[in-house]
Amino acid sequence: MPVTLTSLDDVKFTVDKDVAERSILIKNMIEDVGESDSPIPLPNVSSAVLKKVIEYCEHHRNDPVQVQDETDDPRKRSNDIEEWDMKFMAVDQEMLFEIILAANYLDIKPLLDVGCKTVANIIKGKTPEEIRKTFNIVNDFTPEEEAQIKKENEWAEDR
Amino acid sequence: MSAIFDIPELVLTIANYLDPKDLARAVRVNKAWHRDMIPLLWHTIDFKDSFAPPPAPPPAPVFSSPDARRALTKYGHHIRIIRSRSFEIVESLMTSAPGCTLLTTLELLDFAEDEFDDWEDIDHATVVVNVQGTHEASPTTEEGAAGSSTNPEVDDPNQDQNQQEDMQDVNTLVITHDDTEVDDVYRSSVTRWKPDRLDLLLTLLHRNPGLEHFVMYDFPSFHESAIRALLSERLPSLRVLDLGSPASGMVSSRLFALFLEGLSRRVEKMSLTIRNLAEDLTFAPDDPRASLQYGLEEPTLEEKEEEEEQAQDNNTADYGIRTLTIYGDLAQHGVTRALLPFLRHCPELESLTMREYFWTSQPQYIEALRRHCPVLQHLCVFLGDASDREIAATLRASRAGWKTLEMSFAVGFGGLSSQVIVQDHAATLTRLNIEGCGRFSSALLQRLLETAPNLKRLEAVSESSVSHTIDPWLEARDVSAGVNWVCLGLERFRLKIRVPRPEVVVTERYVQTTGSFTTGSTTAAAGGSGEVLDRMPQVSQEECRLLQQEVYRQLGRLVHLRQLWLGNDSDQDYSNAQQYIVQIAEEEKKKLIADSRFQADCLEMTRASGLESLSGLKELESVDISRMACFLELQDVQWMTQAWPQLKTLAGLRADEDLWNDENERWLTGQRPDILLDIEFE
Repeated sequence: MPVTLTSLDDVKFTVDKDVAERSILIKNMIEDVGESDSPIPLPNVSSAVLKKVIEYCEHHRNDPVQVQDETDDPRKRSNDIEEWDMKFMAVDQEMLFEIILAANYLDIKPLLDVGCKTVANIIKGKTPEEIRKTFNIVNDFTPEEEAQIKKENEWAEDR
Repeated sequence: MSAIFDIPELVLTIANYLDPKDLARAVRVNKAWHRDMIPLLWHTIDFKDSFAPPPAPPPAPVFSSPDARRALTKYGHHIRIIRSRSFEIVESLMTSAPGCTLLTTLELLDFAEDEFDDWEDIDHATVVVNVQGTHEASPTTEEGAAGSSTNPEVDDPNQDQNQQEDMQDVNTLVITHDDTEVDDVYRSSVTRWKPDRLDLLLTLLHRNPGLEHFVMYDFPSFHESAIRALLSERLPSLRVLDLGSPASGMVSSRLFALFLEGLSRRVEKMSLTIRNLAEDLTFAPDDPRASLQYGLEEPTLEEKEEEEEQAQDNNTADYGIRTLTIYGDLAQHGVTRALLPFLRHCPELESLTMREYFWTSQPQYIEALRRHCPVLQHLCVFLGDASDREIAATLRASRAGWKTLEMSFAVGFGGLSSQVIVQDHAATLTRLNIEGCGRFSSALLQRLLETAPNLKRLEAVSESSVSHTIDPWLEARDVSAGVNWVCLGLERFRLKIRVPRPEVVVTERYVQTTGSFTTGSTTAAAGGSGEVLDRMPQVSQEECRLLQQEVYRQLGRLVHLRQLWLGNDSDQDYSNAQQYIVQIAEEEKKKLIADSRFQADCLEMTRASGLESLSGLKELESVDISRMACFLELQDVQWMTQAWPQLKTLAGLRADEDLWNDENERWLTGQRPDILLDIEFE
């Protein structure tokens, strides 16, 4: 059975249930409400972003459910993005961030992960100043504070 | 714009994908990033891989500057994981990071360069190998394996046993401890562990009762206080304990008993060394080394009775050990007395690794494992001087059937043990390593391939340089006389295959069974007189072609093969081990085959010989034909690179420098630049 989703700007998207249910938020809503023809409102997601998200869910509709790996080391690798996802994520920064926010809101863990990996890959190898410039972040440290922090964490940097 | 950076969970998710170097820069971006990412940056301090290769200077001491010390005090409470090659880090933590009390993992691989050498040395040097034998041993070995397809004695267990007994007499390895070496390493270890250093370590362990994972190769296990610091009451969460260097971690049997008694039942994986020093070394009464001589004497009658009682006693709570690695001499009474009751309470033991396991009649271990460890299915063992019969008895230790057997260089290995493997364990085996076990007969290898449906890895070509052993091989004639192989899930096939070839005539061959056992000293030489011992069976061109085709056909059915190693990739000069002197028709091939490092009676690996039957091996990644007397044309290599899309390595090619031209080069690098071609120029 198809499901209708309504975006922030009131555009309606009709998709198969298994595609929509890649989003845990939507899956839970359908389970709570039961079978219904009325569209599901997604007031946090614009139509442009929702279109992208649906594209992702359609491509990954048959993926197995992710299993949480239980290593106590929280660090993960970011160089294992598959080719289709890599192309999918080749969008401007604004769209990238919008997709991440939508994935977070809609609770689509694999999409959130691939989005965060993409951002991590942008950060890698950059100096703090380059990072700030890239993401338009204001530096609220005094030069002394910044120098101090650099010294404190030198063990990690010059290895 | 940067809305995602306002949500701490998202910042953290992104930061999870950054390595320490990038995190250390990211915390300087602004205050919010600093707040969110500092715990992650300090979560793991990993200096394990920061070993600069010489001649680079050794890494500068970490956390030595005042700023770094201050940071340790400020952020020490975030640290959960420490991996280091230097003990210095413990000193820094103890002086500057009182807040570091929530460690879950501590790995201290404390090796200075020279200590590394010590370790390398003792691994082998404590073992002195004596090969006793005459060169009659060689043809017996040869016959046992090579002639078995037509030999009725494989089917007659009694006769086979007799033959095995004979072999024992003529080719026996005697392995003994060299106690002076152990003593030296022990002495240097004691010198290194001054009281203040010991105090630092013990205090750190004491402050971190949540430790789950503790690895230390220089652990001062000769100190009772150090052993006590590892026990359940102090480290109740411990799951992994690895004190696995053979050079240190010398637990006397007395401390070993104490240790096992108090060990947390949560420990799943453990690795340690037990060493006792010989009785005839004399120490002053207050010398701690004297404690390492405990338990060498025979038990008194009372002690024996006490042990009987212990064996009956089932009140001790079971241990949770799944994986156990033990180095050392397990045959000594003091060790047996502690280890046996322990094994009787390890119902979950799945995997057992034993180095320097001196069997000399220790059937109690096998009984204990068989009776009390029902899920034991993985065994990696150095069998030392164990006889064929003892090895066969050892194989009884698994009730469920072995999945993994790694028994490389078992010198006593022979007909009995190989029959037990094939008859009783073919159904369960997934991995078999019999490198250097030259007496695994070809007929039984063929039988194994016909009856082991789950076999994923068969490893029988040795890489290390142990030259007194020979690898087993498979005779094409046995393949041709047998039925289809069933191990269709096989991923690694490392085995020499022998095909009689008409152009190769062996006029003389002898196998020398002795040689230096790594750095150990060797006595008694054998073989090498040079008389004619073996003649390669004569075959017609047609017969040879049919034999090769049958071998290719069986190999071609192994569609999941990733490694096909038929050659011999060791750097070793085989002239010591096996020598061919051949007469060959074509003059230009003569030089090559007469080179004793090459196997002359091998598959040809050419399209003309039937190689195309291997076109279905689409998962093949690595092919090794080193030291095989093959004469490939460029078109054969081209065929390989086209038929096997996953091919990454093709090792063992040789080319005549004069005939090799730019066109060949261009083709190979142009068509499949991803393939690593290992070409040796003549």
